[in-house]
Amino acid sequence: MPDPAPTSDFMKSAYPAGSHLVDFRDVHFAYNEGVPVIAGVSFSVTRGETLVILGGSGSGKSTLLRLLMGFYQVDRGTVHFEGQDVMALHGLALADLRRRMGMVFQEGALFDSLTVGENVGYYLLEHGMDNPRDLPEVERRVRETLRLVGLEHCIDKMPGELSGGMRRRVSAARTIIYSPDLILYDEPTTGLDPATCENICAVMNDIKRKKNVGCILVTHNLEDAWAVGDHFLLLRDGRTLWQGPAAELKAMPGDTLMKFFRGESL
Amino acid sequence: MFKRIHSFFETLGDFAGFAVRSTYKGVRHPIRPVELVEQAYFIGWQTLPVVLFAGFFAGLSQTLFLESELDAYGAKMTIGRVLGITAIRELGPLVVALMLIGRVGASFAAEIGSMKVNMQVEAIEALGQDPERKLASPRIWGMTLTALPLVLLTDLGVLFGGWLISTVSNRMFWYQAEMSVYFRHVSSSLVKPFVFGWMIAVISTWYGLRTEGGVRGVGRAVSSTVVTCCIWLFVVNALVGVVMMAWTGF
Repeated sequence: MPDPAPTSDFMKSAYPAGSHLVDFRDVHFAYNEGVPVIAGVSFSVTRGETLVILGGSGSGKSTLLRLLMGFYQVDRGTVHFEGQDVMALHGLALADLRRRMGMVFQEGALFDSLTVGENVGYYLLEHGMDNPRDLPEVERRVRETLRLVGLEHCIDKMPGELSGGMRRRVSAARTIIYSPDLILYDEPTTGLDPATCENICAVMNDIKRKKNVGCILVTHNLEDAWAVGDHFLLLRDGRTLWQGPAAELKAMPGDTLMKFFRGESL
Repeated sequence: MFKRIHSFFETLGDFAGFAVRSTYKGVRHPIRPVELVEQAYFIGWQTLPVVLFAGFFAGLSQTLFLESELDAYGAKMTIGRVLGITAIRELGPLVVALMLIGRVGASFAAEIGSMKVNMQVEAIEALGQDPERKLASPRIWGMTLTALPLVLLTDLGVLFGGWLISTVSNRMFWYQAEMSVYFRHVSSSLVKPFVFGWMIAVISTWYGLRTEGGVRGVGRAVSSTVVTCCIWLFVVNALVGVVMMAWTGF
């Protein structure tokens, strides 16, 4: 296991700025002054690759995704998306940037008052395709996207009628319909049975392969992580403990990850 | 102590900023007609039976005691006028505002608050939209524009309730009621609905969008909306009354 301490320096030398889809450099962030949530995290993601951020509850995993979406301002460091400084963007420019990313939320975060089809077509309807003459095209794209996640038959159902796994697949469909360059998965399998988890991971891999997008998966589920991860970042108390390719992590002693989750030194 | 004062002014500044921004955003990025119609249907059409019902009984009970009081001074025949002025200046706008707080404001806070705790507001942001523009602006403009017709119809409901129980002749009642329709009275009825509607919608959407802490948070948001709106309703009502009186003459 490599020395975890100088991760940010290692990343700076390993990845020149601008050559990646996402570039986090020495990011520090705190919700409340004096209580750091993220401390010096650096990582990069390229197109066609899935970075898995593994960590226990409260380690700052989801915060990293929210910083990338520009929901919060970092205290120190830089966050770039395709060479653009996310922290320097505001208002419409930030909204435009967010349209190039997609986020699949923990519980799906579907709009309860809309049908599955309306949820999936939401982006298209809200961004200029709400004319009656565009509706057939919207429906075609909604059906096509729902087919990709295996839920075309649910197009007229309400989110309340769906199971947890189906809601998350609809959430993924709502995200991929506008072909973002990057998809962020915020613990998409939490609370689901193993078969559904496997199904969701298959959908994630399928989307990455067919759409050639970059993906970041935030999870504490090891099986999901192995199923989709190309690169791994182990996060504890907002600090990077280790990061590198999946193959390198696999080659480490079998109890490494369990030690990590137990909070022991690696 | 200093921290609390600082926090109070911070919240006040946040609220003022939100009020101006979300109202302006509805003009800068015009709200789609379908969104306005949806809001008008929910705020106006579905609230109409409630306000008419409340207005009718408010007029009825007002007449019941006012008529006997006026009779003691030999002025019973002016009941139509007295009730008309009461309805137009105070009762109509207040009845509508209270019903809007209970039925619509609470619903806005609960709906948006639930969306907030279920991450749907974050999802809207993630989909490249502005939650203030998407969730607050249509509701603010919807309520601001719909409150006026509700108040005018409620004024009629109040008069109708009074007329039904009044013992003066029909002709006298409506003749006197007509006498109350003067600019200095009606102007209040024309201004208050816009002010009340805007205020209730801004407060309820603000509490909704700042909901935190799961289901209990939603409950707190609804409760805070109702209490804050009710308190400010009477303060603003008095202020508008004073301003209108100063403008149109006592």
